[in-house]
Amino acid sequence: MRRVAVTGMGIISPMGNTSYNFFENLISGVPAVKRITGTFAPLLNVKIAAEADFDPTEHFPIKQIRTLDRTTQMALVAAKQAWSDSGIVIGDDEQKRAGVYMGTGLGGAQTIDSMLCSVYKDNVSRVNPLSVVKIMCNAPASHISLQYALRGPCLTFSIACASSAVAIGEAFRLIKFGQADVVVAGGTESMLTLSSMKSWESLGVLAREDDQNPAASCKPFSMDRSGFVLGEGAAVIILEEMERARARGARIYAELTGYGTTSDAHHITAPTVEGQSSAMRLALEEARMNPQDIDYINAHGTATEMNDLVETQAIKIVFGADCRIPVSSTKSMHGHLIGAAGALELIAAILSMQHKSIPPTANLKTPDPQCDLDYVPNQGRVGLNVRVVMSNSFAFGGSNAVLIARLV
Amino acid sequence: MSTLQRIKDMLLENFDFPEDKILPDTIIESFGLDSVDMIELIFYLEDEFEIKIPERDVKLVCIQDIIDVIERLIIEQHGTEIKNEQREVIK
Repeated sequence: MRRVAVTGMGIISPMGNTSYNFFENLISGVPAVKRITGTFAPLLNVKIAAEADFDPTEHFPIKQIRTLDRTTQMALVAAKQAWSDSGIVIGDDEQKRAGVYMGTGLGGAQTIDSMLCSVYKDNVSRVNPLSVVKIMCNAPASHISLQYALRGPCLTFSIACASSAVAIGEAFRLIKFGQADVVVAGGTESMLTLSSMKSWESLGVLAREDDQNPAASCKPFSMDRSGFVLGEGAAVIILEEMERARARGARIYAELTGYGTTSDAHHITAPTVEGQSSAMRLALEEARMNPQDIDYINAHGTATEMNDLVETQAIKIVFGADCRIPVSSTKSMHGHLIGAAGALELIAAILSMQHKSIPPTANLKTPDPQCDLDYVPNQGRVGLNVRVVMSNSFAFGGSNAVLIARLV
Repeated sequence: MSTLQRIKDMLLENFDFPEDKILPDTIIESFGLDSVDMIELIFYLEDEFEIKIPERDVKLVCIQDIIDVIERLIIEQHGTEIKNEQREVIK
């Protein structure tokens, strides 16, 4: 059976723009959630977000910036980091065995927002001719394929909050089953626009701003939790067939060993214990591991009342009612990156093995008696032997995706 | 500002063209534009000069063709010559 190595990582995130800074900030437990800086802030009821410190002019010539939505800009920079981090070289004969699998929820949200604004509000009869190619959901993946001459499958997965977990899981299978040797996989999302923030606000899933400290607004598994904070960013990994990676002496961050995906077929937003626990079981089965082999779970942990309760119950069904495995929600700090969330959180989990440290769930001050796992409250833990990790992603629509990685 | 200068400024702002190559007799094809670039170029010209360039009946080979088309359309569509315009003297 072919095995799959993670040999490179790249990140643009609210908690840092390199994997090192990202993890250091996660362990420090200080959230990146702030009052938003957009000029439309007064029109919002929820005025907080986790913005990435990302200035495209530092990465692209001014003439290229206008041809790429922010979603693609971030994806390209994260892919570039991952590519150079892996030190990979793709020979001409290998290009068709190398692919791109990316996830995004909404695609070019900022371009959609400005285009609709000019058409409906300003009554402009003509829109920018690049609108379509900036907005389309597969723009990030396609630009990565163009950039690195990757001529195998170039696919985009849009499964709301599970988009990039699915992208990585499917990429893992593509290599495992012999259809590719290298896949650039991950996710990207940048929808901190007025229209999308209003939409999320209206759905009632965004956290209320904390009276004392806006940074402490997202409180997963806490009694006073009120939802998530929208984030933005991109996270990309290089997946490579294990023997290929070993033969070239690549640094192997982790081996991906399991992926489980299920659909609740229950409700468009409400999760189910059955769907989530089945996805975790499928991932364990594929990894040929027992529940007790898992050393850390990076939870979906959105801090909505429903998610945290259902995810806790699902974990208990798989890992036992007395489960003491550390489970943390790093969304408490970097916000919810929607289409990039699964990839960013898998990276957080892989880095916890590399750094022998587990990032905390921030802002967990008032335990909820119904959420009684070890959520690593408020303080990161260092000096731990973390060898196998699980990352959960559960999407609106009822799709669940779970990934397992281990040290090699 | 002359029509040429305004075209030059627009091209430099939006495309990677060498400034010293933007001359009236430069063949547009020499910039290596693809079909999408050409659509964009026309879009930005329309924006800059507040005109509508019809898809048919326009043949743009060199920069001078762009100047001629724009100046003709401004008169046709606005009934006036370009304000503050000092026509470029073409060799």
